[in-house]
Amino acid sequence: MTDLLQLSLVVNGEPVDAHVQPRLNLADFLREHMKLTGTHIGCEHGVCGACTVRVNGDIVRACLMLAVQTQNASVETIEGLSDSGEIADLQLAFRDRNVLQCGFCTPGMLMAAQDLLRQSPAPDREQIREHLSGNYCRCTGYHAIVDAIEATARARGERRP
Amino acid sequence: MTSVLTNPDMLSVLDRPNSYIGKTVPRPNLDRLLQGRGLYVSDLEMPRMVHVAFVRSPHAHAKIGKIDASAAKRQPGVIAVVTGPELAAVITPWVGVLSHLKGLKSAPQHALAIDRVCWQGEAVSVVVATSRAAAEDAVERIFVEYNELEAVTDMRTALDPATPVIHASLGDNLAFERNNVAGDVDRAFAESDEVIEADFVFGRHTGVTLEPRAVVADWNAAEARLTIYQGTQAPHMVQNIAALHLGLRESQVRVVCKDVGGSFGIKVHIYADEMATYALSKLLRRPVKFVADRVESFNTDIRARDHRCKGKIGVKRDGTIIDGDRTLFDVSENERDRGQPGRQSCRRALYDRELPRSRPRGLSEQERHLPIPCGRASDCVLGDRRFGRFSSDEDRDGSRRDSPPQSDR
Repeated sequence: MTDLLQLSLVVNGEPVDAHVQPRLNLADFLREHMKLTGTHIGCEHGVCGACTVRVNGDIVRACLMLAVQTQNASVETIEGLSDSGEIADLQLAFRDRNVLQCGFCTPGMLMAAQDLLRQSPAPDREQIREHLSGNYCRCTGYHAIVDAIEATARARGERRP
Repeated sequence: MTSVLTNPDMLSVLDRPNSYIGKTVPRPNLDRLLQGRGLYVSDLEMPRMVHVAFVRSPHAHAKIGKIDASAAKRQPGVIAVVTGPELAAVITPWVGVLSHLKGLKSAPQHALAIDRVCWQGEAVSVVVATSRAAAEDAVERIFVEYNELEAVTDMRTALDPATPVIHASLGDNLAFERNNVAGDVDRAFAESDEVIEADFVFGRHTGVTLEPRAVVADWNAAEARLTIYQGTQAPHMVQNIAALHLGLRESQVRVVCKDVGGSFGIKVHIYADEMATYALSKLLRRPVKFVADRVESFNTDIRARDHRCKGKIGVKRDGTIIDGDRTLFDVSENERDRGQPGRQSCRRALYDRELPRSRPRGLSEQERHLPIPCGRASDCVLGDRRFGRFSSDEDRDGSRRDSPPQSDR
């Protein structure tokens, strides 16, 4: 159980080789081995959504996935999406509306919001709320978050030819 | 937002180009939080930093017998296993009272329990290891003998003569009492057409911050300085209390509070496990990190409410309420804020202008569970005569507040 396993994967576009315990979850791997602390741990049992990351294009709870399950996978975190500029407009909309107070849920919120906008370019408020239903925010009450995502969807739609 | 100036020649200081008036001002820390580049205490790492996990009592009230940590000490990654008497060598016990709550009684508390546990979840021992996972592994291999004692769990019978007294040194289970009387209440009842009594129960709740309580304590033995990184609402209090009980001057203690993942009132207090973390850093002369997990949060973060209230009003046939008589029972253990709900509810009841004659009574009693001080707006529940309606945390006349407001986020 404590023997280390060899792990190779791509994190935010960079190849990574590591030796990890089989029991290590992906959230702890990203935070403790990769020092990518934007992936937050709120509940450690898949309820709060603060650890949401992207694995091979799908969002997952990093606390419910073992690091060794990401062998040969592509993992993307909030830091990766920030640096590539993929969610710059979403972040700006969050900023303009002061969508966050403590900010602990925010990376997970952004990951989930971007996932929705990739699947559904023009979601209504109900769909936005449904897609965020696995992400807890204890500070804001969600309203401004929904506003920001709705505004981002509209702006992206206007930019689309 | 734009504004139109009717007379541009009459600019005031508020109209200067960088004025905040009328403008949306983005918070300066938003960008780092939006990029996952905040610095919460749970993110913090330091050279030679070690992690702790606590052995917590499964009983509400018990004598502590033998603690066998021999198997735990052989676990990989374990640096130390420490019990209450060992930690007491570097940290003194404290008594949770406030000077503005006159008469509030409290028994001494230790960073780790000594001889007896007084609430379920109280820490009796702590493992220090190279990772939190290694520390948790070792916690499972510590065997503690408990001799269970009777638990007092009903605040309505806590003062009965048949109920055991929890802290013998305090004499009884009454921690705090406040009685206020306005007008001739008995006469008002006698003049009432009808007198109505009812019991009210307010459910217990807690703050549930998304980032649990977290602290890194770094004792630099060469400089004789303690740096405490803590997600707290009250860094100055942390500095004062830590210095006082670790035998340091305040100037030797620096408290750093960076990003905090939610507080909601639960982080305006200092907890025994946090005191233990400061003390462990001093004992082991290296940085020590404690981050509560979600189960620990539910078991050890302060809770609020859980009041039992008896209410009695006298009414006239025309519907006017001419009198009120209220008793608020409030439970708590070892927390210096715990007199607040009873005191403030009592006081607020007197400010009810529609109820000039009233006799509110607040009682806080010792009980066998974790500390229950103020959570958000806890003093408002009973203060309003329309029971259960939450009002703002402002005194009605705005001038008679005799305690600093609870900082709340």
